[in-house]
Amino acid sequence: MHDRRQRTVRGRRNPMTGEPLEQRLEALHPASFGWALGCCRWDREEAEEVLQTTYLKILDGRARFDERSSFKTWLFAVIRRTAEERRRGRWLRSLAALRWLDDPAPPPVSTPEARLDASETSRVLRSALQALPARQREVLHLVFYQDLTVEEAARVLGISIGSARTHYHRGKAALAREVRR
Amino acid sequence: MTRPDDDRDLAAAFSALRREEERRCPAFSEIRRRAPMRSQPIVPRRSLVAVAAAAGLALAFLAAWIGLRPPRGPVPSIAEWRSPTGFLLATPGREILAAPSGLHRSVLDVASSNKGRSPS
Repeated sequence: MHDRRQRTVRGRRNPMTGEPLEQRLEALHPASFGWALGCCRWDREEAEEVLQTTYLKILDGRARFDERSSFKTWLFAVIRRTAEERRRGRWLRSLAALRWLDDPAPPPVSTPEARLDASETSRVLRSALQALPARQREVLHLVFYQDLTVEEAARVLGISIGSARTHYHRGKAALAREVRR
Repeated sequence: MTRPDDDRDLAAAFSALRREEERRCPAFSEIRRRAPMRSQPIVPRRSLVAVAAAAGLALAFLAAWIGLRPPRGPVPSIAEWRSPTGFLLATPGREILAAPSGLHRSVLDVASSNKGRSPS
């Protein structure tokens, strides 16, 4: 049963290019991981889980590419939605009324290895981004990190281009202030 | 949309961050191979048990309180009931308005007939 499902998943092709879906996902994997990290506030473990759920959703056919945008834009929108769903689930679990009944959830782990890896510039940029409102952070990440246009960023986030432009300009100003601080 | 030159520093910082994260990115096959996470229930089982126990206790207390309450006295009929603020409606000179005035009758007559009575 599992093998048959695996074969079906491997054989599924992108209707637009005929290229196997899995290959397209693999080609975009590093960029997707970066975006998942951004959506999960640089919690690596959470980002990996979000990415895995996203891949499963796509390969199982629960999320379908409707060719209304580029594959990358659509994939990023699915990653963002998945991260949001997981965040919502976590929020429900940590509701104040139930918190005292459970063991406290461990905070995101920052391993010494990860700390050593992070250069000073990246560390400053990451902490400055964390201080920004979510929308501004997401637009800046998509434009500067993923090299998308503001229009494509708007499509990923499901907002109007005007709104994305506003977030872009405000975000840049706020980021400059945060970095100088 | 093109980025102006003053964004170059920002773009450079972001691309340094991207290079760093790509270096630490787990392989695609590793993510794909990993067993699907069992979705955590939104409310943990232990919490559900505790909440159910608390609700049961609350119900038991409520039932006991209702059962142990002293019985009330006889319920008065609606026809006998008087409003606690009803006395405010008894204004002076009410008698004048109680009956329609007669054509050949003076208001003073009513006043003199009420002279003997004590004010209400």
